[in-house]
Amino acid sequence: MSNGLKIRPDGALDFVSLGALVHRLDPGVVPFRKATQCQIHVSGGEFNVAANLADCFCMNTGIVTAMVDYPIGDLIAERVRAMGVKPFYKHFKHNGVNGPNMATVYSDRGQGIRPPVVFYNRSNEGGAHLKPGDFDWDAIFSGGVRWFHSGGIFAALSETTGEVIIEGMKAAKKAGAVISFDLNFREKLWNIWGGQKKAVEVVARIVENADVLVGNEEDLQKGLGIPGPEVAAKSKLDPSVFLAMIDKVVAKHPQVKVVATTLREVHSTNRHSWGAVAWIDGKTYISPTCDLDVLDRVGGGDGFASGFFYGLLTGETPDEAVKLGWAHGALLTTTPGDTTMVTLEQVRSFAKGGSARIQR
Amino acid sequence: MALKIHPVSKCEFDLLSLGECMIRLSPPGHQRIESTPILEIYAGGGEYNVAHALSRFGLRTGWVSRLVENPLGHFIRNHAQASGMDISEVIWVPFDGVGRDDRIGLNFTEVGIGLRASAMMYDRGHTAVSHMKPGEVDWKRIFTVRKARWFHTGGIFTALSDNCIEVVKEAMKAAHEAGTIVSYDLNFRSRLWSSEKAIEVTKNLIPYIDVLIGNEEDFQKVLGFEVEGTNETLTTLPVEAYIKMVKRVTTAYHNIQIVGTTLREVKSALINNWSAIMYYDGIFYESKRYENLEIEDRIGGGDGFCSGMIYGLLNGMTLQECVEMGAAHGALLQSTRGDTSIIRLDEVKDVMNGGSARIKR
Repeated sequence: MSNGLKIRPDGALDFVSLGALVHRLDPGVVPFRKATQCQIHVSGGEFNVAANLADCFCMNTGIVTAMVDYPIGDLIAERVRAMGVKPFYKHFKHNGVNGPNMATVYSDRGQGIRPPVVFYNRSNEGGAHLKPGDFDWDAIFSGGVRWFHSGGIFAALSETTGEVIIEGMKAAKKAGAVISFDLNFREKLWNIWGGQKKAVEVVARIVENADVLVGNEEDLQKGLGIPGPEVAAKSKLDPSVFLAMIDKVVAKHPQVKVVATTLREVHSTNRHSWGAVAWIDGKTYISPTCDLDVLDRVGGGDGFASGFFYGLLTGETPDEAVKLGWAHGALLTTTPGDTTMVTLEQVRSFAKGGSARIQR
Repeated sequence: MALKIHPVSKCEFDLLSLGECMIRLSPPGHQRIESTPILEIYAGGGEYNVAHALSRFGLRTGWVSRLVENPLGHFIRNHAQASGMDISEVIWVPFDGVGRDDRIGLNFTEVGIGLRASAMMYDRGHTAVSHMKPGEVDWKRIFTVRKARWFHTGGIFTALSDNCIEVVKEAMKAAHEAGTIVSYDLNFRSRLWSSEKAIEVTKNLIPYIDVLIGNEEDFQKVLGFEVEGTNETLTTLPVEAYIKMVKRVTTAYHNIQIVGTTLREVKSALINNWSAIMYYDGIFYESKRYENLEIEDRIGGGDGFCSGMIYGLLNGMTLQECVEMGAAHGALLQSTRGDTSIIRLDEVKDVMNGGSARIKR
């Protein structure tokens, strides 16, 4: 069924992502100010999609990024390999004192009425030093590439990272890849150097190259500068506000064929209602809605994007692609960490309306 | 150095290994298997450990085995991938939902202390890898098209089943015919087979072996050579007797160019004297002795020696450096828990060059 995208049938890499790798310190339900221990998760909004597609969906994926040669970098590189993602690194040497660093994300789980709290130490981050010319895109794409992805987190890191995204997108387009961008607007990151005005300007130049956008109405407003909704939403799960903005998105960027987002209503930290919606080549597709008992919400949106892209890459109907994304994102909130721990079988079963009845 | 190793540029792999990787379940600390409420999970297997370590040292390694499509198979896949090794030649078989046909092998390992030795209980029957059949892997393509500089396997894999005896033979033969260096770790496991059977089977594999790894017990039980003067508990090791025996082995089998082993004197479960010795062309190279080496977990120490030594040989180090690499890596490997190495190459080089355990900051 048509989705308006021209997806190459083959290529050595099904999916290549560009973005910074981070390590997330997770003290669980204990807030950082009282924490005595943390788990270390390896993450990165753009990386998570490549990792999920490799580990859960058995696709050939790659990550283009910065790697600092020091023990935290070694830890991250090992997890990248374990997920089965092919790395394309620009290496940086750590000076032993203050960097360059792999970014640290401090992110607890919250509990009940207490929301999760996220803050960063991204000072002197290797990823922010990336600039156009750092990567040999022709070599990376030489075996063929079907899909190229990046996102608004990486775009927000420095004056040069947005330019790397544009360079990568243009090279990928030349290689015949579908181009996607997850708007992922992060106000804190933009505020330390460019502010919202800069954000809108950079993101607009990036989105000129994109076929597929992922982002909610806030991302569309703040990241893409699309004027706010004129309709009032009945609830967070009502896609009408999002859908009302699509015309303006497509008017501004007519080459965009797909815009998708998750719909999340947070009843408490541990209890969300969850849905997804996509506008695909003029038509709207809406997932079922489910109630989630959330263990760790971080990575849910990337979980949606990866399942949705998997559906599109494998020629599923648009309806089915939205459902696969919705199901994978939902399942991802049931495990700790930012990347997938579930199997394709579980995703398909839940997408079909499977229950949590024990399987034995 | 006269081992004729294919040049790097001609080969896709620096080392390819064939063997089993098991899931290891261990009580934390020094608790007993029968009473622990918690088991830690690790992955490891003699032949696998060598490919794993060398991959972490930056070599291009691959591993061939047979795995089940279930979460335990995926645990091993993730563990292997994390080292960077190539697993594209691994054969995957479906899970029957029960483990009647093909399983992932388990071992329960408790880490001893003081007088109480480390103990391992196997649960490795009906494993997928023991059902590997000759012809199932296209060794000819692997060794002539993809090409490997070094092939490593050993007596644990061979002992798994009669099928595995045939598989190891066809693999070693194909490697040997392609000019790939073949190393074989005798690794006698009395629970897997008898000494009589081991001797009968291994005799037929010897013609393909360039580099042999084995301690005094292995030579006795797998090759039928006696070392004079070892006592049953291995508290002391007469190196002279071992040297004499290696001379007899290499006189009997001319194709064996290098023989290496670790020398371990068990003073207590966690205090051992540790060193290694390597033979080449009539000369024995002894590593420095690590007296009273404090051990966290001894499992995998021998594979640590083996991988360190092979690293040296593959990288054109002097023979003395090769045995030092092996001994230092084996010693460091035993400072961490788990069968596989989490040691870095620079740490090995530091220790073999006399570096101390002074904190680095």
